Amino acid sequence: MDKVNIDKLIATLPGASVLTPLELNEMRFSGKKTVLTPKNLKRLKAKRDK
Amino acid sequence: MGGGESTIFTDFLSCLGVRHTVGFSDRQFRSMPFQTLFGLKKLLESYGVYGAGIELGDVSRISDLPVPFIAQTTKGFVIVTAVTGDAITYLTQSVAETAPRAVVEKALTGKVLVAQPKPDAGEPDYDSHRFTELANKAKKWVLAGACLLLFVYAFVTNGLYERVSTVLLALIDIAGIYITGLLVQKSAHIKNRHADAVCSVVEAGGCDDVLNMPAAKFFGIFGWSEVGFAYFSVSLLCLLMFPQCIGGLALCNLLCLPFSFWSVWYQRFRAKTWCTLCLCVQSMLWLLFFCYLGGGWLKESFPLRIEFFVLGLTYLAVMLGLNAIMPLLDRNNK
Repeated sequence: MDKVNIDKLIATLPGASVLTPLELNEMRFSGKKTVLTPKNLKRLKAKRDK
Repeated sequence: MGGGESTIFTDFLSCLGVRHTVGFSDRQFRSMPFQTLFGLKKLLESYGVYGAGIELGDVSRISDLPVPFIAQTTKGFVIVTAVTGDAITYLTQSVAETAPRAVVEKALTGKVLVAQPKPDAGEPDYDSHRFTELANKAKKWVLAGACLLLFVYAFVTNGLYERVSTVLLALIDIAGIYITGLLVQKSAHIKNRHADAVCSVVEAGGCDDVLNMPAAKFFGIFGWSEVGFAYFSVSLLCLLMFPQCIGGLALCNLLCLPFSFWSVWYQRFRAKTWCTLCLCVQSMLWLLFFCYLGGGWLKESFPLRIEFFVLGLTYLAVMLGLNAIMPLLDRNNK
């Protein structure tokens, strides 16, 4: 997605910002292969709602 | 999708409609020194796909993002493929799922990677990689065809088709190779849906339970699956190439039968669970016995000849060879 399109997209999203290379580099793919099923998500939501 | 073995990178390329080969692209992804979203963004650029990381101020605005996009959740990354009013469809570890939007939004961190492929986006050197991929697939078929032709040649020239017992022996040995092959794969932690389907016939998870027990290894050294695979493959090859040694094969089969009693006893009273694949192997040993008996081959075992000991050595050599390469096959060692 080029810069022009990104800027257009960001403009439509209030409060959104572009992630810097450093921030992107901190988002690592885990070696764990967790399948995020709807059941797991419900459990996560229940935990967060507590 | 499916398969479960492909990476998020190839899943994302598929969702974007970017032409790629799974083997090459997955290798590229796995060989990234740092498997981060920044690395993935750079990798996508080399495919002609431009991406950008965005942090949403309000997660509920994900419906405004162009799909597909990669979204970070508290439990890893997913590829969001569709967002509707009340549901979100996403890919997680190559598995497509749909969940209520409110539930998914709770799991999102708000950080996403959106991407847009250029009109000519694609894997570098796609054509040559595609050719290699097709050639690799063809290799398997050529191997299967060659094995089949050799089997038919040996079967016909040695006159094995003339007697019902030898026809059945060959068929049971082939089935035995297949079943013990599945057991070897299970022992090596290689996922196989056929193995899982057979295993769940008597008791779900029973095969894994039994194979993970210490008794699944002979003296803690050889897996019984390796012993079984060596037994059936050597038996079939010997029957096809040296049918005059069938008496020796019959005697070896007879010597294996006590193992079937021990195996069933162990599963019933010690493991307290049933391994369907193991039970199939025990049944095949007995079917082979009845074929040898019915064909009158057992009485040809005596007097013992040197060929019998050579056959025993061959079983041992193949079993040791398989045992030596098992650590290389084991997915848990990779």
